[in-house]
Amino acid sequence: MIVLNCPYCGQDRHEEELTYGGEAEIIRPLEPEEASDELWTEYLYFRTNPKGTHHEQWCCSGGCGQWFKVARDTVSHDILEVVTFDKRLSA
Amino acid sequence: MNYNVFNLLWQGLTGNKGWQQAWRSPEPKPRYDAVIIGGGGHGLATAYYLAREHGMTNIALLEKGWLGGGNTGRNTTNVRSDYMFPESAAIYDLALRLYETLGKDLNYNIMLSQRGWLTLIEDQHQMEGARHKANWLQCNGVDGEIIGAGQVAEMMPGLQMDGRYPVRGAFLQKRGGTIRHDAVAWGYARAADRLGVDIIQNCEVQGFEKSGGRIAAIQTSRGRIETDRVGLAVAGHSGAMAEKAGFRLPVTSHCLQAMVSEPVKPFLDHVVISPGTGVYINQTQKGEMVMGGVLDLYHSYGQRGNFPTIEKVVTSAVEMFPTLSQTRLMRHWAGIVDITPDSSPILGQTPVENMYINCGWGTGGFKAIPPGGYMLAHSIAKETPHELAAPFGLNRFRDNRLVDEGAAAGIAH
Amino acid sequence: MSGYRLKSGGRIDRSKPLNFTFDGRAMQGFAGDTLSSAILANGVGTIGRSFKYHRPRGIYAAGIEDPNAMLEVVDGHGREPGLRAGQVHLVEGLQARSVTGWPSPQFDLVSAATRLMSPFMTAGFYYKTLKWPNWSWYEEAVRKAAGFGAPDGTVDGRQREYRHASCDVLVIGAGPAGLAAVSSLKGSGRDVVLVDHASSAGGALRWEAAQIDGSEGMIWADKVVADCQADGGQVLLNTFVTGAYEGNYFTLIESLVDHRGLKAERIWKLRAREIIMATGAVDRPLVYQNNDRPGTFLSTSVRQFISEYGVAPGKRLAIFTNNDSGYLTALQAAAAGMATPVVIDTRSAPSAAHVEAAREKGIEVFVQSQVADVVGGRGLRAVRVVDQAGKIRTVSCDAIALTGGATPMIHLAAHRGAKPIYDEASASFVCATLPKGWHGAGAATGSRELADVLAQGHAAGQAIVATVNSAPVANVALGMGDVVPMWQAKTGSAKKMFVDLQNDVKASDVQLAAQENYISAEHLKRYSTLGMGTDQGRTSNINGLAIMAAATGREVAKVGTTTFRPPYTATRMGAIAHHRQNDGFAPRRRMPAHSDHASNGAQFEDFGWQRPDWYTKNGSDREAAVGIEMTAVRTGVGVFDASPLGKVEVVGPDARVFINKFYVSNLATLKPGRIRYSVMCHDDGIIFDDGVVACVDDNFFLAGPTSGNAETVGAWFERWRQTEWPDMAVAIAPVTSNWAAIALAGPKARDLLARLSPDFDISGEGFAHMHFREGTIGGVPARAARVSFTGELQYEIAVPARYGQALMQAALSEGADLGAVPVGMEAWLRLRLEKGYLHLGADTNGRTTPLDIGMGGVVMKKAADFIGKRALSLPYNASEGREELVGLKPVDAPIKIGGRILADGYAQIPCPSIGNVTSACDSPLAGNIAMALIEGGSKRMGEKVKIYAEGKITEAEVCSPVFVDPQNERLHA
Repeated sequence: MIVLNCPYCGQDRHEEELTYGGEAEIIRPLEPEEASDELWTEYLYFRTNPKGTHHEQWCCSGGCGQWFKVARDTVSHDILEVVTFDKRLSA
Repeated sequence: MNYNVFNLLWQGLTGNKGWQQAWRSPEPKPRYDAVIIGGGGHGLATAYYLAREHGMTNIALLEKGWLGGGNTGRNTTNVRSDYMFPESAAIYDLALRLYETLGKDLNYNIMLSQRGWLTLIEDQHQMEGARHKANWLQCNGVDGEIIGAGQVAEMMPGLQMDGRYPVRGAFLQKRGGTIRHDAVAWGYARAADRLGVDIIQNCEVQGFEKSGGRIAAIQTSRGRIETDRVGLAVAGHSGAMAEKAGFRLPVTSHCLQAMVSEPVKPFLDHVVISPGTGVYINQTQKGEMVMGGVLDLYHSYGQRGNFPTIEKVVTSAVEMFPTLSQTRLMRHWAGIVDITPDSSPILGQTPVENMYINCGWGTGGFKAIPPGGYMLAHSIAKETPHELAAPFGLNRFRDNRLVDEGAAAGIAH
Repeated sequence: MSGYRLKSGGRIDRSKPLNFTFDGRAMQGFAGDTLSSAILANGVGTIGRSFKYHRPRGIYAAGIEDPNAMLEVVDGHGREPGLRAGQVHLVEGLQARSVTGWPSPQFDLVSAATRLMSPFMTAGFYYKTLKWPNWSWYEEAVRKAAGFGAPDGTVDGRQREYRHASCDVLVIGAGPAGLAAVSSLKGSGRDVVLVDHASSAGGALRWEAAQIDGSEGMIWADKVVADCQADGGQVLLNTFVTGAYEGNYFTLIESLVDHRGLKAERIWKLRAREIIMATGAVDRPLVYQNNDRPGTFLSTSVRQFISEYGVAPGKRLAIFTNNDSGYLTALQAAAAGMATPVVIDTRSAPSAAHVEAAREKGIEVFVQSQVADVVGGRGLRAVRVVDQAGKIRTVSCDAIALTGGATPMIHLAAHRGAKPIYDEASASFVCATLPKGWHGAGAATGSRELADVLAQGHAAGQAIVATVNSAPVANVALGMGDVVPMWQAKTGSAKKMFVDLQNDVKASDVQLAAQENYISAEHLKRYSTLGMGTDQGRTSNINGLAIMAAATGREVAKVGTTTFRPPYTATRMGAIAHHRQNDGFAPRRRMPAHSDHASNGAQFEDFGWQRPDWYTKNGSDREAAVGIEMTAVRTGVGVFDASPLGKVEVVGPDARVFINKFYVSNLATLKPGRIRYSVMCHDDGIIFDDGVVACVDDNFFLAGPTSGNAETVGAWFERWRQTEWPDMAVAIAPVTSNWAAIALAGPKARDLLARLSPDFDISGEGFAHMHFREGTIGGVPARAARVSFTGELQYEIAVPARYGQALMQAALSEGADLGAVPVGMEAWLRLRLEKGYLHLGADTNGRTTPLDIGMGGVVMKKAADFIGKRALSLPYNASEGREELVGLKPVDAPIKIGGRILADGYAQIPCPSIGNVTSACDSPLAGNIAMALIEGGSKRMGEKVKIYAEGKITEAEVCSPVFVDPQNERLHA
């Protein structure tokens, strides 16, 4: 049972109140028409899948509705860091 | 010693002293012609078919824990081949056909029980989808039919027909059913061992030595092993192993949970899934109700259950079969599955020249063990993918030529 | 054996006798009994037959650890097909039945046959045979043999409740360790929840003779509990902690029992900051020949039966032990007035104090001795004792109590991933490190003396918060002492030594698994079924692992354990599901005018909302009614409830730039008051929604996603806004259910709308097709769109949801003389098929791009980037021969939905196929019509194709999908 403290509304939310959004810091090429097929499909389909610390997006969907970033251990599910979406994770 | 009635009687009368090891526990040799990484069903089947079909016997299979300890030993044991895309249908139907004779081929009873796989039809839209599916399967030469609500009720007397999702009928694949999952791993292991394959348990791959774009040797917890070719069949850890070998896969790892109730007298003779509740159920030979549902949505390598999913699955099971409220949940667990963008496997060549892969089966890996092994063995032996594997190469993601059964079916697969 | 009720003693209420039946025999027990103690008190020996060999089995333990006592139970609230007798509170009128053995457990006919089979039915039996001709020949017989009881369709009357809670400290186990911790926390201000599965606190104090802090153990226990409650703590009895999950989230099952039985079960989901694991231990049995006979008990359970329930499990007891606790059982038996027992101790040097205390009571003690075999088939009559020299003597007894040490109940910590480590001192597996916030205390950590247990409990409390409270002091001289492992008796046949009683796994099976190289703990479990029963190996796993260790020349520690999985004890699925059945499973969404639809005879279908599929008012059967509804729209006016249609407001200075990023069509030029139809893709170029967008003004756009995607599209906009374009000045408001909407469609739609008193011009010129108006209708704020899904003159009128019902009523009554009828989903979808409009999700699938539905021109014209644009030029998306949406007309027989289009040149299946019929219907205007996705469809106009559907092959012609009004005259009327 994952519990995150939303950095926007400050409330503890458990996973049934949250929406998972996959890897954080995915870059959508700024000039799509300039991007090669390889770069575009990399953006579409290839995700890092670490056994350990993972940077990911979550949404406080049952609360304030804001998306934020989380560093989480994918084995223990320990939460290492939570930041607002405009910040970079350091963990 | 063969497994047959005569030997069973003779051994029974003479104290069962003569049964041999099902497989040896050899020390790894410094070099093999090919090494298969992963001692689950797919890896063991690969070893078996490499030896049997391609005559390669100087091969080793490396397993970091115990044989069949990954998803092979954690799934809900269901098999079916009701896939619609012809490329998927070809693989899954080959799977079912290989499974149908596997017990005899391996001289090991895998307890294939073709008790019929029913996908309930709960609304008009699903009925239209089921009609399309039945027609498509029949075009592909695979069995599948639609049955009416009356027949569903007759087949499953405990099923609630007019609950939250009223049952209008079902899509039935009679050849679908269940298999004793451990027996598949053990049967392949024993047969491969008898053909001379070295099955090495408790041997973790720690890294690869590369030279000129090829793997030259594998570093393991039990020493360095040189080899010409490497096959990867490590569902759940495919991405991590690919990273060690220096390439990326469009795979994420997720937790898939399953659970059993305490054993009760025969109550459900078929495997049934309800699209409305998203849950599937069957009853084991021992009487336990085996239940599973959807994936946990976040990335995870934690092979353990989580209560929100348990709650959903159990609640759904009771909604489908109200009398199961009397039955007791005995145990729940989880496995890690590889999820690809199109929920179809990745088979064949990797960016590393002499490394071949079998991964990405998602939630459907168990039912695909025989062809998964068969095709990986082909890749390793012939250094080119099997024709059935060709549509499932890693390059399909670059072309956006996805094989998304879920997208065509509108349900999980 | 012959258990009986002792003249005195026990915590039962002898003034309240209770009548119950077991297998139809009338029996009597007392309030405070469990079903186990009551059955035992009535002298019942055999309560069931074993799974594989049909050997007689009796009550074996007092609690849930009993592998034998699975019984069907009917109480005043319902029936349970299989329950552990030790957890059933005896109530008046309770009926219990054996669920194994035929015709009865006492006279089982199968047992004789299986006895002959037993040499062959070893571990792995099924894997080695029954392959010919195939497994299904044997399967039914195997299946029938398995299982306890059967769910029978009886609706149980048990209430189901659930609670969410949190606390500072969760103390699991109200035995001496847990109570010491609670007493340590007294006055600390910490919010404590104390849980125990028993109906009273005390744990082992319920049956052990002990004094704590100068008073009787149970008096001390009651005082600690009372203090805890006075302190604001919560004490949950009859409650199992069933699972421990991440974030220190626990599931608990509380049983609420009244005079009729189990009245309710309450599931708790509890989160705690700190956890004290004081879960105790259960006795581990000893493995010797015929150790499964009725009359065999766990030693601690015997003390519990005597002291808690006043039941003697037999006339004369033998105790077989490898530690000092066996003597405690002997002393209690003697003190209770049973015949003088005998102790068989495997050790050479038992504690002098214990031996002396025993001998004082005249109890005979055999040291360095083991049980070699037992005498008696269905009931124990004697045991054969072999000493160090090999001398065998027969000791008469009708019950035997076993202790091979204790097995700590480490399940909950192990659920969280704590690794079990073999501890030599206690000869058991304990957790060396516990999860964060957990503190272990007592027998669960391997402690064997009460003084240590109390000290640990106190220390655990102090570790959470230091208080001035002092540690409780015990006054007992006798404990468990050293455990000298004896994993398997040295004399006797391994083929008759049972390790797992429920699954009939014998020492010889474990050895065979070793011989066949199934040597890892998991392989052993799965190959032999050791520990896979309803008791999940509570009393059997460690013995089995140790026998495996011996058979493979390894230390026990090296074999390890299998993984502990929740729940701690089996949990009724009804308790987990509680009230969430039928509408409680997934609430039905109803539209504001639901009751009007119902009174018009709506046949509802669940499309995410309960929507009328057709109205019986319009015809007695579906086809007739749908035909009438379609005709009404084509000739008069139809009224359709469009309330679920998505409504997402996009507002702000950047609204136009923002929304233009989502739709395939160019919205940069959409003028205020105008509407455009378009589709929306994911970034892989696949269509995921379609609908109209209205430009209310330059800073305000209203998107109309499909009803099925209404929430999804709102969330999709919002996510991109936050994560990709946070600097855009735009706000998103999903308002779908704030507004109810009706569609008026048909040549008389304008007449009807006029009667509803709009305050804006609705003339053909003043309010043309694809225009949007805000105003009032009947004095109520309204948003009106002139758009069409049917191809007719059509208006969609949205009003605040509270006026939705009135609007629907007004439309139908005002339109009565215009021929207005309510129109359901089926007619609506057929009308759009006549017009060739696509139905998202039916005429598109997970591979369809805008290019495949004929929107290539629109895409080409749009210069700005939009989500999905780049992917349209990826090789496969841009390739030839993709499935494209076309119309179909029948040639020889009606077209069926879901039919497969056969590849060119094929006329029979199996064969390749190139597409499918995505929609089809009989149209009153156009006859049988269909749409299909066909490879290269747009280039096949006029071609004949073969369709396979439901066993038949028919022919159809590819055509434009617009079957009605291709000139759009009706649309612009």
